[in-house]
Amino acid sequence: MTPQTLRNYIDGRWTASEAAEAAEVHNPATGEVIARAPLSTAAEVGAAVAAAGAAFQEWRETPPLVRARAMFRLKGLMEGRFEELARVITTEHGKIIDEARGEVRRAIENVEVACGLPALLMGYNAEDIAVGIDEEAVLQPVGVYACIAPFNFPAMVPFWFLPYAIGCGNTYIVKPSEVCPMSQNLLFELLDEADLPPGVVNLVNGARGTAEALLAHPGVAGVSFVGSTPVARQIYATAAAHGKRAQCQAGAKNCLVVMPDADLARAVPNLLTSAFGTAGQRCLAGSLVLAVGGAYEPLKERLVAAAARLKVGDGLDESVQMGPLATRQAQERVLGYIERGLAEGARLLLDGRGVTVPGYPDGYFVGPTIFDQVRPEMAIAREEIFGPVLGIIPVANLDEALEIINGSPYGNAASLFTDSGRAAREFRYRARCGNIGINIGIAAPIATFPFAGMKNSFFGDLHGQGRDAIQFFTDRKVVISRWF
Amino acid sequence: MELGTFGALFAFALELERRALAFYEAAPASLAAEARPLAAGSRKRLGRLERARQEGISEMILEAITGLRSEDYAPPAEAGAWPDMAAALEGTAARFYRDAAAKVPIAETARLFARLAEENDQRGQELRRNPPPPAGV
Repeated sequence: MTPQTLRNYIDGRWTASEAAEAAEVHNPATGEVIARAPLSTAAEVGAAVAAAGAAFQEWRETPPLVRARAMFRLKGLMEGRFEELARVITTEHGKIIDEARGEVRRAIENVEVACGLPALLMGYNAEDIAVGIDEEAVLQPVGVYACIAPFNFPAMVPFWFLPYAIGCGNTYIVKPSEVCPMSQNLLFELLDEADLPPGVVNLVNGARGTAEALLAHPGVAGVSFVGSTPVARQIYATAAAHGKRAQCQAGAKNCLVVMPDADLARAVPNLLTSAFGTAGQRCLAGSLVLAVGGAYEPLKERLVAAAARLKVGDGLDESVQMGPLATRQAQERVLGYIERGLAEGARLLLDGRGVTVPGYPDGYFVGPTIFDQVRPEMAIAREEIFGPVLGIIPVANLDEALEIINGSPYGNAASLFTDSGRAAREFRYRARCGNIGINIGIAAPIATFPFAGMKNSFFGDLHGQGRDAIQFFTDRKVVISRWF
Repeated sequence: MELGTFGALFAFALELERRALAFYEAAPASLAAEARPLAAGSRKRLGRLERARQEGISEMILEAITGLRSEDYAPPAEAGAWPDMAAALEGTAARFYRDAAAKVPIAETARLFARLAEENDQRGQELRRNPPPPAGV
């Protein structure tokens, strides 16, 4: 079957891109090309911004309750195509079908929160700030916003932003990842079905050049980005140089601290999920286990035994527990890190290289990999691998673990496994990371909370989701009035 | 087949419910009154399971679920009388849900499976208490 070439959705219509080039989209389990994503031109970005700009005034005047009804329609449409969405995510990304279902659910949760925006958009006021003078603050939409989306959660991440942006009365443009654009294209079919006014939401396929055109366009008021730290830093700087708001979620190197009093039987499955779920391609993935004192030996044994049992394969097979990496390049990069770990002197306890999946000779598979005798200065301990590679570092106490966590340039997430409330309090208070888990391996905030992040894991001040999203997508206007 | 993942467990539970629904829907006309509420119940349970599969995955646990195989919950032989076969279907499903509830590491799912097992028990008891007349009578 000839792979489909994806189209853009601009001004309420699906249109074929005029771009000369297209990125191939692969099924990472089979290596097959399943679609082509056009690398849309600056003119096409301009058309999307013009459509979004033209739609803004009427959309901002649309009562919030009416905008919320569109969100209710969208939720219903997403529920109706739930399984199809999940299967598309697995096919384009490789993550197992249950993880894809979880991703669709998280996307829907953001739409559900946006259904409540009429109440959340209410301002506040005070009478008699001076005699006979009243003051009020109102929240107003800003204009055209855009999202430059990553490949690892191709359906969910744009929905950290889009429902809030349009629910607040802004108009929106999504540039999906060129690696995994298909689920976002399907979601735009649902947005089309939800029958929003033309131009309120727009989708422009593309890669770096398309993103740069969005960033430079004077008609775009703000940008949301999720991706690696170097790119996030660059996007933040470029957005600022062009006078735009920006929220840039970046890379991570997350530590999982296991205290000697931790319940290992319950901790180990959580550690496994954190390190090897989505084949480690999550910004919340645990990448280093810091085993405190006596936890080290028993934890190491249990972890390796459990990880060795994980079934690797095509994510569409319900019995599979870990899928392939998203691209051939990602597979090669992860294999390169395993070589580096060995060269730096770490001991390989579980080797995921050379894993084969019968019937899938061309898939981008790497099995669960665990290193022991990792030292904080090693590349595998410092750099984001974004793959199923876990390093174990023995530490003497919680202070030493916190020193490693706080010494990292990243600050996305950290977790502690313990039975001690005192240790937990100490950890949540002192760890300089945005998302803290206590006996939780993946500290993923639900839609009513901001997806936090500190240090080089986040550039900006207002995060995606929750109240932060409402602030990011609105201006606060203060009105002071007196009547003579 | 090994039911080692959340997804495999739910796929099999849905299969069990579809099997029960098909059985009740195909009941002879003389047993329609008895079969209809059972079929309606199965339809409702299918919806509940599908919702749970799509909504109960906010926490993924990767470690394999061990010791559950689909072969251990095979459908009863099709030779018996209708009430006996219905009771056997309910009994098999109750056993599956009870076994799965004890093993699944997600609290919401364990709770759902335990409730489904209770329902199967009640349906089975009802069938034994008020056995429908033999088919064709």
